[in-house]
Amino acid sequence: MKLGIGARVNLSIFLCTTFTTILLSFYFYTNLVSNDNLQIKSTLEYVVQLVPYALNKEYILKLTKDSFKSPEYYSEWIKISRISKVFNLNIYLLIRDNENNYIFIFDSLDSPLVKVELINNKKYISSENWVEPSKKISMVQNENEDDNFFSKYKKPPLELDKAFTSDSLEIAEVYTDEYGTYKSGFKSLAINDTNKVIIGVDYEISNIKSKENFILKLTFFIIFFTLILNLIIAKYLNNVVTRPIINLSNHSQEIIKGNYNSIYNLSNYNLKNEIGDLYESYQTMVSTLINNYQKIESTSLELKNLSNIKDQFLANLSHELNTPLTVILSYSELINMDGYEISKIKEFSNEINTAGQKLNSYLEDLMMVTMIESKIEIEKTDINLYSLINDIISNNSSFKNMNLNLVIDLSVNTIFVDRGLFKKALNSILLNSILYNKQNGSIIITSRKIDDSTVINIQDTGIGIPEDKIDLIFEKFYRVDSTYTYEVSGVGLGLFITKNIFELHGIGYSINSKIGSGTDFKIMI
Amino acid sequence: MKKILVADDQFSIAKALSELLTSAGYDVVLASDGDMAVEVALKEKPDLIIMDIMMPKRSGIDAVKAIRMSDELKSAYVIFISAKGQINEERGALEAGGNSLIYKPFSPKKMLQEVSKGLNQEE
Repeated sequence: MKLGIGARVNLSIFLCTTFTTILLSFYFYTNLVSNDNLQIKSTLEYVVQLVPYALNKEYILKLTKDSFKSPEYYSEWIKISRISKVFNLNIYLLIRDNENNYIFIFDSLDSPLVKVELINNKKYISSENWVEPSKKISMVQNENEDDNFFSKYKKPPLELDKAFTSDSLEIAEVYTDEYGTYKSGFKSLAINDTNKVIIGVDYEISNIKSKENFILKLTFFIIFFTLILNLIIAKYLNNVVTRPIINLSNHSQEIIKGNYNSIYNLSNYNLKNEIGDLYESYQTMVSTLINNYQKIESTSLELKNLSNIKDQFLANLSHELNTPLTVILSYSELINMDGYEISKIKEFSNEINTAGQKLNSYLEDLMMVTMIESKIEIEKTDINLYSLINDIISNNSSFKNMNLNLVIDLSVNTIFVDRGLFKKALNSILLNSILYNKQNGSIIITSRKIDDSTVINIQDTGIGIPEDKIDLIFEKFYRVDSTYTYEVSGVGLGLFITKNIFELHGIGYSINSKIGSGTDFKIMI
Repeated sequence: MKKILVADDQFSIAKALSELLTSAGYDVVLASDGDMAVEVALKEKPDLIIMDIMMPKRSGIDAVKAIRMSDELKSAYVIFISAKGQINEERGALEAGGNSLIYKPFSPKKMLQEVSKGLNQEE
């Protein structure tokens, strides 16, 4: 499995924290426990050596299980009890009887402060802090039960046995009884005929236990807390870093696949941080990319169209140049052949002349394109529109051949334009009106004043131009659909030249055309 | 007298061919577009056909295909005229059953040679 950034960060934080916590806990634990062990040992040693000095040695030597009945018992007990209180330890003396029973003689924990008194020749034992008076009475009344007063080890620790055979301090393993958890030290004090007296000291270690517990709990708490903190960080990182980045990555994959128009939406996380900035620049980048891509697409489409138009033009041009050339070559060869009358030869030379003029007009068109593209200067004068139209029409043989009807209705007759250029432009428009017209069709030319400008309309009853081709007819070399192309000769430069002439003049123009019923060319000067 | 059909939408070229062939002693019929070429061919049953490929209404190739449907004209000798470099036209001309292809601009002398070659072959 691949781990994400978030998971790695989380795992590292968790492992670091846990490791540090365990290390610290271990350090504290070992320090505390070893300190305590040391302290216990020295305390036990100290107390064990101190107690014998405090006690009456003679009395200790004579200790039996009945010793508590003697008056000295009290004073000895007081000493032990005081030491016990000072050191906060349980101190007791033990003897072993003939049956190897260990009997507690003094016990700072559960022995009373005993006072032996003789009242009415009867022996009484009393205590200043005796908790239960009833017990006192029962004790007195049942002297035979005195043995019960002493508690015995049910199972004495091994170290206690050891203490009877050695002189050194023996420290027992930790043990727990109904009073608490203790670590005990034993040392022999004295040996008499019947008994050996041992001093026992209990060091209560429940404090240490609670410290241990505290460290353990703290350790677990810190680990648990870290875990919770980690989950929160994980959730946060996931929301703020991982998910946005995965989303970004997925989206960029879509872009790589070229899925620019995919409905795959980039979710907006509205992050006010570096990731948010990244998102913003990414979005800007993608939209720029898409924009540029679209620009390139449309440009390449445009170039493709232009290239198609150019190819068509070249094919067309070679066809158009071929025809007059064929005419010139054929007739000139015919003239050279024998057997033609002079009148025929004149006819042939006329054909050659016409073809030559046609070639010349193509050449002029091509030169005009070059001139227009290098922005020629225009020279405006007032010219007579009516005579200009007549000039163009009268020179056109197709007009007569097709038997067209010309209607001229001019309310404005004088226009201020460059004569040569405007004639060229108007010629192209009229040529189209004639060549694409029907037999016996008509051409209507009107002019009128609208506001400050002169509007000239040239309407024909021709084949019309398809709506999607209207813009294209002004392109260089463009000719509408090859179906019609063969019927009308031309290289496709006329309207391109017209458009440029109008633009040089600042003349507006528009075309309204209906397939089959004709075209209306509007010029606004 | 051998009859020749000349189909070309350019009147000047058709006329030049007509003058050439007439003075060489052939009977010439003219057509100015593809449809007319088919019509005239079926009516006049020419011995040889000179056909421009690029023509209005019906291309020379389509016209020849239509003419070839007629049993009497199945074996008529066909000379196509075309501008150079129109590879599609050349292929189409062969498929349609053209016997030869002459590129514009052509020499009248060469055309005459081609015509007489075609007519001899037919015999």
